[in-house]
Amino acid sequence: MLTLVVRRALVQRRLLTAVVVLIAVAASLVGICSLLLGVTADRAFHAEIERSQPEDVDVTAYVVGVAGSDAVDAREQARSVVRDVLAPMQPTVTSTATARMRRLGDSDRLAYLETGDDLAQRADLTSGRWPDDAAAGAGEALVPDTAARLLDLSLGTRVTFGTEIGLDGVDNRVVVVVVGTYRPHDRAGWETDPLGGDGFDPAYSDGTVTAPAYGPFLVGDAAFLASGSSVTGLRVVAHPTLTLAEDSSLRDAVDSLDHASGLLSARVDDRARITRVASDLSRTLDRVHAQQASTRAAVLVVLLLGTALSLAAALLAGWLVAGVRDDERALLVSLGLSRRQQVGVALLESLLLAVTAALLAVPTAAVVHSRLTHLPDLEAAGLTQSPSVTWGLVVPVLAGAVLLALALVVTALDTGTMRTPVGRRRAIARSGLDLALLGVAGVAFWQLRSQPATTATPGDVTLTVAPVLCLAAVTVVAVRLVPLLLAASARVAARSRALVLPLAAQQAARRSHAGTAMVLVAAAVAASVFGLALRTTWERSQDDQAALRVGTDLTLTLPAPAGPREAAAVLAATGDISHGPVVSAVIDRPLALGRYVGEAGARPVLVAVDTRHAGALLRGRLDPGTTWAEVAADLDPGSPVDGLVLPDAGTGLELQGVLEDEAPAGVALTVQPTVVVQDAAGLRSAVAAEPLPMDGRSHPVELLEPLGSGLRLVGVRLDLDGGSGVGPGVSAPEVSVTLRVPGAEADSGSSWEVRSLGRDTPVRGARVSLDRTDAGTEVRTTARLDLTYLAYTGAVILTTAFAAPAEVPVVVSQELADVVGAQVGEEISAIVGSAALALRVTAVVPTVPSAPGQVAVLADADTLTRALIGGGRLEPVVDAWWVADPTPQTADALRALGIGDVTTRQDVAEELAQGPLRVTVPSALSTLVVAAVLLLLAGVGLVLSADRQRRSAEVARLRALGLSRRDARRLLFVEHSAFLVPLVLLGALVGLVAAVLLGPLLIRSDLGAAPVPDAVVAWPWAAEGLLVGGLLLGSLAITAIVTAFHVRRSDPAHLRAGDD
Amino acid sequence: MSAVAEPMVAVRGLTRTYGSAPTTVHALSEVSFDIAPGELVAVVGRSGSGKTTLLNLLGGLDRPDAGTVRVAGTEVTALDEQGLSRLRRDTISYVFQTFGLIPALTAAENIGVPLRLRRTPTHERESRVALLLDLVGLRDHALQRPAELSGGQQQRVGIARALAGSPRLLLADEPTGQLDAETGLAVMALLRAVVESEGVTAVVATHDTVTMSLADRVLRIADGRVDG
Repeated sequence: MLTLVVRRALVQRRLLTAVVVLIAVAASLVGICSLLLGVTADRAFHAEIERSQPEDVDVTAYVVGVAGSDAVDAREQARSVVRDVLAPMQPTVTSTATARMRRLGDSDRLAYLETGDDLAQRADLTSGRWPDDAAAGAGEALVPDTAARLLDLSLGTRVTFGTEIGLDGVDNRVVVVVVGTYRPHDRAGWETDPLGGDGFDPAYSDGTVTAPAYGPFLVGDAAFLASGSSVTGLRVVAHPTLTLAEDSSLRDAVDSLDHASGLLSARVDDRARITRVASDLSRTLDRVHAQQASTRAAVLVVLLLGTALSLAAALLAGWLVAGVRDDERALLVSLGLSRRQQVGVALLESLLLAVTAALLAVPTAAVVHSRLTHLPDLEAAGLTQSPSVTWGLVVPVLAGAVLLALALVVTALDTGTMRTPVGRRRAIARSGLDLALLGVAGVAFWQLRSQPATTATPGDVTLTVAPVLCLAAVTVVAVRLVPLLLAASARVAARSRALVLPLAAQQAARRSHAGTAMVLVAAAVAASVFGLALRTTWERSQDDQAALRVGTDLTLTLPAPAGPREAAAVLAATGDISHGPVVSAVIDRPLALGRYVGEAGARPVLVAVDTRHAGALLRGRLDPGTTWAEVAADLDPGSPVDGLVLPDAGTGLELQGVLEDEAPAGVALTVQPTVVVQDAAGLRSAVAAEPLPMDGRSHPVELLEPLGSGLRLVGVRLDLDGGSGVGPGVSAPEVSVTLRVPGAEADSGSSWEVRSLGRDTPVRGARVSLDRTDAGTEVRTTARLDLTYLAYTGAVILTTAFAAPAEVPVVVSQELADVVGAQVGEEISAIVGSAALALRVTAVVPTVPSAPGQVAVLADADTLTRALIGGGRLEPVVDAWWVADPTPQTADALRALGIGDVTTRQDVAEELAQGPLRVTVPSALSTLVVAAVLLLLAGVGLVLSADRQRRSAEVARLRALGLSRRDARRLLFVEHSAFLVPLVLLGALVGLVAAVLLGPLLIRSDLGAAPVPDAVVAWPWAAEGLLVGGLLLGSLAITAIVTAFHVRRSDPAHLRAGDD
Repeated sequence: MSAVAEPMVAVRGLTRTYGSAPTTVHALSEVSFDIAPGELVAVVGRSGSGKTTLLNLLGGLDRPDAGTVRVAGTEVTALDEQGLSRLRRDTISYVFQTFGLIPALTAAENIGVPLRLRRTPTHERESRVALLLDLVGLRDHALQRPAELSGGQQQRVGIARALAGSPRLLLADEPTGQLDAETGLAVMALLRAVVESEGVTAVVATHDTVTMSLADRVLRIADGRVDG
């Protein structure tokens, strides 16, 4: 048997070489996909984990409210718990302990100590040196720049800390000596600091005390413990060694996290008020797994499509071989070769061919895979690998080769394949099969459409199998049209008096046993067109997701609302407002809509930007024909607020409070002004001043925070107090408060608004006037004050340079419209922070920038802050800045500020499209295109070769009947072209339809959920045109070559020994 | 002086060898003969005697090592590729041992192939095909494809196709080789009849004695030489 196989192989070496090459190509594809799913996926997992930000993988233990004496033990317990969670990854553990606020000396001002072993990562030394914990004498401390300036501290200054505030506060005094100053390295890492890393808060409040606070004073561990301070916050962070992170160890860590809080609580017992262990590790791992699943599905689609195409090609090759061996087989059967022996011979030959092909495919796959990982995107993602042969490569390649080679066994035994015409019964069976295939395609499509919008593991299987089933089934059924089309063409062509065209059309139409060939050609074209379109659709979707996720081109997100200092820094970093990039302060925070507060992790969101520049600023796909400028047109706040130009740093401001009528004896009133200022970019902030007596005299206004330059005064809040000792029945005297702004000139026609804030206010008949004087402008607020009530309630009068809008126009997301049932023109009541606002819906959009898929409203920041300030909410509200079309220098400058996270749309798009776990998708789809093209060309070669084998004598006879060589070439070329061109075009059509119907459904977000916005098909028309044109030309070129060869080999001179 | 009719086929010194020394096969050696117009000549000899080689050389399917072949006054051996195609299209036709029909075409379409090669007008082609179908007794099988016909019917289609272009020389290589004796006899009788009715010169390679009996002349070929 072996002898027969070997000798026959030697005789038919060309044919078998072609078969081996075909199987090797297909098996290489299997090998490449196996490597992508195996080693590359592992590498991507590690690369992704190693790129994780600390906050994504760190495990943090929080211990709140620990006595100084228990601090060491509590810290050790916390260290032990978090270390155990991440034990296999040899975590680095750091801790930070923040002491309770103490009186600064005997003053009302507050300050606090802090120690930690990661200070150098969180703070930059600006002067002096780091504290030496071993130094003798008073503990050494590092002071925030801000606090040092405000407290007038210099190196060597001794600072005395007094009593701790709050109940059970420690009463000892602590002395530290200043050895240096620092600036927070970044706002990140200071989230749990009582002052948020600002170094100073003019009105810090712990609920019992409200006073200016400074700190933290950073000291060494020993100094901290020696101070005996109560620990308000102990934070222990374990950071895993990411190079040691394996999927299993991370899963174990996530499991451990479930019990870690309980464990810590049990160990610390009642020595702390609150204990908690927190980590985003679980969410990070879920995200990574979702991305892995999404990428795996894409690669599996490529693998399955490639295997299906390869199988079709193998079957075609098998029938070609069987056709060549028909006579030999008939002879052997007539000599008594049993069916079992036939199977044995075919199996033996198939296995030998499979092994030979695998020997070629294994190194080929290893090398091609390695080259693939050297593509720029994969290289940038850290996925570069050298060629290597592993069992993970050898086994699938061998299995794939054997599977494909077995097609030779099937075809070798199918005696009717090459000769018997399709019978009626078979035709009926085939029609039934067609219907079944359409049913399967329908079910697969329905499954894809019914995928959950959220992350779902079963979607993995659907994403993998459904598109392959749809594409294969539709192709198999669609190619049935081609013979009908050719038959119609043949009927038309028969009218010609010549031979070539009618005969070519007839031959093409009645081509026998062409089913597999048709499916192979059409499916290969469909797969390549589909793969190319899916790749661009996928890339477009990543861009769309990034645009909507970021909302603009660049965002600077702050850990806490920004004040004037941050605003000034951002303005300086972004350059000239009028000529630089469009910059907008942004309010981006949760809100409640009536009684709807959303669900955990999915709160309604308010996004307020400068909508005058919405067209340039906002990103994210809208409905076709709509622009953000048009959508936001109704949000425009109208004319800008002018206010009064303030002198630099607010110097020279004076305030005069006058009790116009005669005051009851013993009544002393005070007024605390808070100025509302507006910077050049329109950002408004409030700065309070020290309270002043209303004694009829002018007093300089002592602001608690320095003002910058270029500011305008747009509002003044007056907190009036006093009136104690006034009995009932006292009339309400008129008071006036005049704020003098030196140098300011009020614009003619500018009018200010005044209102008293709060319910049951003692203020009556408040009014405001602006008076120009030689020195500047006076803002004079007058009202009657019911002194009886004033003693109990105080009084607040707000004057503003603008009218507070009664309602804030907003654009709402479709999600919000669905949830709340809001429609355009309707009003929604909302609560932002503690302020109640009336929102009026002006438009509904698919989604609000930066809040993809969320219940969200988009408002104008100017209008919103007018409404908030008008309601008396003067606290900072700016959470971020958005920048359109930033230069790289702008991004760098904003990052250098270190005040928040800078995110660019481009970075997010690159992360989504080129992250280690994502970058394999486009590469795999490109591989599919290349593999499909190769298999198509191989398929065309096989189809034509099979035909040549079968019809060599026929062509020779036609030559003998007088057909010229040229006409013979024309005949075959037209015939093959008539067969191939419709298949290529049909395949392209199937691929395009599949791209339209299936493409968007196959795309998932990096979290494994449906992408937001929905994916839409992106057509690379030029590339698709080039691909289809190239495939057509390639097919025709092969046809021309094979035809020429065929005609040359079919010379009538070869009609010997009869006519065969 | 009476005019001597020019032979339809004039063969002079025809030599054809295959292979190279020392295994050279002399298929034909210095063969010369004439065939008169309208004559039906049987070429007989054992297998491998050179019958097919002789027919291939007569039809211009092969080229001799030496000698000339003239068919209807045209020196076949001097024609180029294009000339040979024209000769085969206009002057010579073939009847093949294995019928040589095109499976995709019906009987009528197969018969019409030589007419399409000549770009014969459609109505003319159709009437000619109908005539030939009548001639070979296959009018009722006009729309059947070769796979639906018996061996004898296929060969009758082959003969009709060979006659469709009104050739002057018909070459048939073992036309009954694939048929049983009875069918073979019927086919040869048909060939004899249509050759006479169409006035065609025919050369039939055969080793069938019945065929020999229907021929006007028998050329015996042995060891590369022709006798008769």
